Amino acid sequence: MIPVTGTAQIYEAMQDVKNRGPGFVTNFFSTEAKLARWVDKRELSIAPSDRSVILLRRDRDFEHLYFFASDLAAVRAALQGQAGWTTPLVADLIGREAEILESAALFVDLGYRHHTRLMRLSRIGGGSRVAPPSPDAELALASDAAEVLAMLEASFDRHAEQLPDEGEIAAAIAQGCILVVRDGARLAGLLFFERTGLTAYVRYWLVARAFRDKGVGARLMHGFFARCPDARRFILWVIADNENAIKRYAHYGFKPDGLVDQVMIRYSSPIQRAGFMGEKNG
Amino acid sequence: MLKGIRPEFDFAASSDFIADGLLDSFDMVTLVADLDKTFSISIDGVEIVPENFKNIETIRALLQKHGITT
Ligand SMILES: CC(C)(COP(=O)(O)OP(=O)(O)OC[C@H]1O[C@@H](n2cnc3c(N)ncnc32)[C@H](O)[C@@H]1OP(=O)(O)O)[C@@H](O)C(=O)NCCC(=O)NCCS
Repeated sequence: MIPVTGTAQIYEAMQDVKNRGPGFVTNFFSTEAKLARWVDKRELSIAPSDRSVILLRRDRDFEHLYFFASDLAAVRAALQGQAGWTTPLVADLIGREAEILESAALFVDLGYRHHTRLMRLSRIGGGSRVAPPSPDAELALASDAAEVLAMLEASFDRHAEQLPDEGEIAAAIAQGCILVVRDGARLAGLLFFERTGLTAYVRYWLVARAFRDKGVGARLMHGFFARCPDARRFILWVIADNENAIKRYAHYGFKPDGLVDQVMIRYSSPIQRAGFMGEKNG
Repeated sequence: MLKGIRPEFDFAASSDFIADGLLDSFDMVTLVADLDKTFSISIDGVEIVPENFKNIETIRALLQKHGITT
């Protein structure tokens, strides 16, 4: 693997694969801004080859694996050549159910296990549908960043939920994209969102265990809708068996839109796997 | 066609679907599947790039390459 020092290195390698054509398969859906940030933080390494490019992104104690290739056979060839990797690897396979079956089977063949699955929910149309509860959620302050990070890391699955680092949280706070509800000096809950034009994304909606089922989540969600009055579409990814959250999202008008993310993981040894077990969401 | 997929948006009013948040990179993949099915064509992976899905004109040009005039 070669360290990535600029985004051009990635785009050129991708273009090479595309030029060889005719087909193209990938699990890489990052935006340019995100990619640039990963490059700046020196998190990326790349293995370009004839008909494929493998990109790894370091994240905490594992790496995300992305591929761009002419076809799945080229992905297989590239990954078989890298069987000696020692860090746990996580690959997200994204698409409609039927479209990812083949790639999931390939990854199982390569020694990956089904880790979990996320589904995308969307809600069409803006505005809160009921009167907002009071008092309103407030914007997080710069001084909340460390606590926000600690809460996210304690409650979400780092392998599957693309957890931010403190820098990303600080940036989101500066942009007014993290709402919180406080209980004295600590945070009772938070909602982290993103905006792109007419679409708003819920990234994390979290209420500390002791405060659940008391309307804190509602204050955050209504606060979010109120801060996105011009959004026409709301999107989020949720772990597919998180019924507690899904029924609430359904209550707010979110429905599955058919996209799924099958998260595959490969541990390099049984000991490593044991060390990574026993952690869970929410 | 686009209206059918995302009825909430006024596609005609946008010249950059991606920047305006009308389509994201995941939507491009599903849109391709829908275009393939609707028009019985097969858009190559190579063509699934933001430039081809920027606005109505670029999508029309892509369909034209596959022999579809809209
Ligand atoms: C999901 C979570 C944030 C909800 O927070 P909460 O404070 O318990 O939520 P609330 O009690 O305020 O309920 C939120 C809304 O759901 C409604 N609701 C409650 N129980 C419901 C049920 N069984 N079915 C449907 N709606 C329900 C509430 O009435 C409220 O709606 P309202 O605004 O119309 O009043 C919280 O359970 C949590 O942190 N879970 C772990 C993290 C997680 O799974 N996050 C989501 C994935 S990103």
